[in-house]
Amino acid sequence: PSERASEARSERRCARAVRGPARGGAAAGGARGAGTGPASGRAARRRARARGTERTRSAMALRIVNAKHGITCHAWSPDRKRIAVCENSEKVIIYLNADQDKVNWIKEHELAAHDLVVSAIDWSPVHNKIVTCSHDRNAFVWTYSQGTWKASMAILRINRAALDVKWSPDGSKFAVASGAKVVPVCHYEGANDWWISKMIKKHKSTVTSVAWHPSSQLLATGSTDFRCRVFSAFINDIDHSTNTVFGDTGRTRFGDLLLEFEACNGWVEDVAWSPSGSTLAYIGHDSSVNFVSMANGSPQVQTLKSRDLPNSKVFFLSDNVVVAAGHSFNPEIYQNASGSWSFLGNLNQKGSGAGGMAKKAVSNFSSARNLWSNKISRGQDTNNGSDDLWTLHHNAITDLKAFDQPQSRTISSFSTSGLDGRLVVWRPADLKKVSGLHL
Amino acid sequence: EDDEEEEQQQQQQQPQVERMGEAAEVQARQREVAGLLQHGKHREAVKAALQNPPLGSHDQAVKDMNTEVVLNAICSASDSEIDKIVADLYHNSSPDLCDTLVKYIYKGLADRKYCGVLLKWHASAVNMAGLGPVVRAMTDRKTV
Repeated sequence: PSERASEARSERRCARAVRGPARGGAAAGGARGAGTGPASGRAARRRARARGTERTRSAMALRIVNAKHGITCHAWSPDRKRIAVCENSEKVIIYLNADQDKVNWIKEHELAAHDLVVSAIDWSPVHNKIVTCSHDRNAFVWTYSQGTWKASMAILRINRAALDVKWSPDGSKFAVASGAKVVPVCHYEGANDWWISKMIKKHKSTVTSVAWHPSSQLLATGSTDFRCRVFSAFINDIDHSTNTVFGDTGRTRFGDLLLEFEACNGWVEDVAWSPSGSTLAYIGHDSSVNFVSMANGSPQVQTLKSRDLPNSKVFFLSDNVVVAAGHSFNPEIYQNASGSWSFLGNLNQKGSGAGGMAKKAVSNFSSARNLWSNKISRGQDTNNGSDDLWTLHHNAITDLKAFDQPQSRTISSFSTSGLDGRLVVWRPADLKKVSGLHL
Repeated sequence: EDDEEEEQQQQQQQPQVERMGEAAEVQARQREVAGLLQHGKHREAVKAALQNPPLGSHDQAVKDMNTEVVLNAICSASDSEIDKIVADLYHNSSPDLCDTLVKYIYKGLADRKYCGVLLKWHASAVNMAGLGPVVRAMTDRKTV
């Protein structure tokens, strides 16, 4: 704890030096880790309030959780009061007070059952269970009872790392994307009190991500064999057949390949369904975002090539708005206006006060520090480091989760976490800054 | 890997006519670009050279010939014209041309030809079109 406190203090000193005098709530709320020094934090807030520039809850909130190790993945509890975070280790830590900006997070629980880094966490609003999967080829389902979280191992039967896990919207199953070229879909078997898996095969390479259709019976997968596929995940004992855009799910068998898309020239990094289930989006490592619309019976694919680095995660905010975030440290917004998708803009805009840094207030210490760290990390000789990192995230964004209440149809606030150890919650006020956006 | 084997088998069964068609197309492009360069029309020469590259062709000779044509057009433009030509490509033509341009820049750099000039083109292209084309040049399985 003392180490983290001194780290937080030095971060704040540098942040304030580089950003100039505290600019409202952004600086005061910005450089805070666990265990902040109370005096300086309060003084900064008092100054900010006096100047009348303190940010209210309507603007984005940044929290530095673990700048040293980064955040691999995170998941919010259904009431959004708690957050489960993996800080690039085998443990998942649950923090309390996660929804409040100016309050310290309290470390509540530590879920330690895995042997290798936890690659994905999902927290279902239906039954409040957490599922975690890890590179150690295992997945655990955690249930909260009598004040602690108890783990129950899911038998996945894979011989490679698990990369992604998602609960189905109705909470009865979860799917795991693995490097073993199969997707185990697990459901609970009460007779033996365990989670048992059925395999979806037919992939030619690692499956990087999975996404459930709102009906909980269709599964879209993205894989490093450059294809995005849609499978039926209809399990006889659990599901009731429903009508979807693909017809009656009761007529399909588990693991049937319904659609396959090849529009991508790179690995498919992430897949997402729209809230109504009529559109599918998948992003590729060739910096492209592909939208598949099922509206007219046969699937129509539209590919948009982005001008920045590839994205890692894609998410639908509503049926017509998509946010994608990744290696360019900045979430991108795409909107569907009158049938075709287009790129609207980046969420983090330079000079809009959202983490912008004042160039004139660079002190000698921070400029020297930047010079050497840039030389090591990016091979740059000049001290332009403070100009380059004007975005809120200083490293790749690796996870993106909705922050609005689980039942909302359109999501107007979401959180991103990245390898820089920062968690940023983007709120409606930030979305309003993107011109032309209609949620 | 299975896909590549299948593709190779299909390619072998492909009639000779199609492959000769590719070579003929490249030669026609070569003549067109040479003509434009003679008249000093560098912008049109670059645009014409970048059309329809033989992506993923199995004939290495055709690819090499096309690379020559493109690099010729690129390197005969003077330094002051580079920015204008790239801006014209990005704004007025299809975005695929910028992707193709960056692919050929990397091909030339890999073959260690005209590196100085190509680096200037690279800086200009990244300035105009961002890092997207660079990522696509690296991830596209069908190479120029």
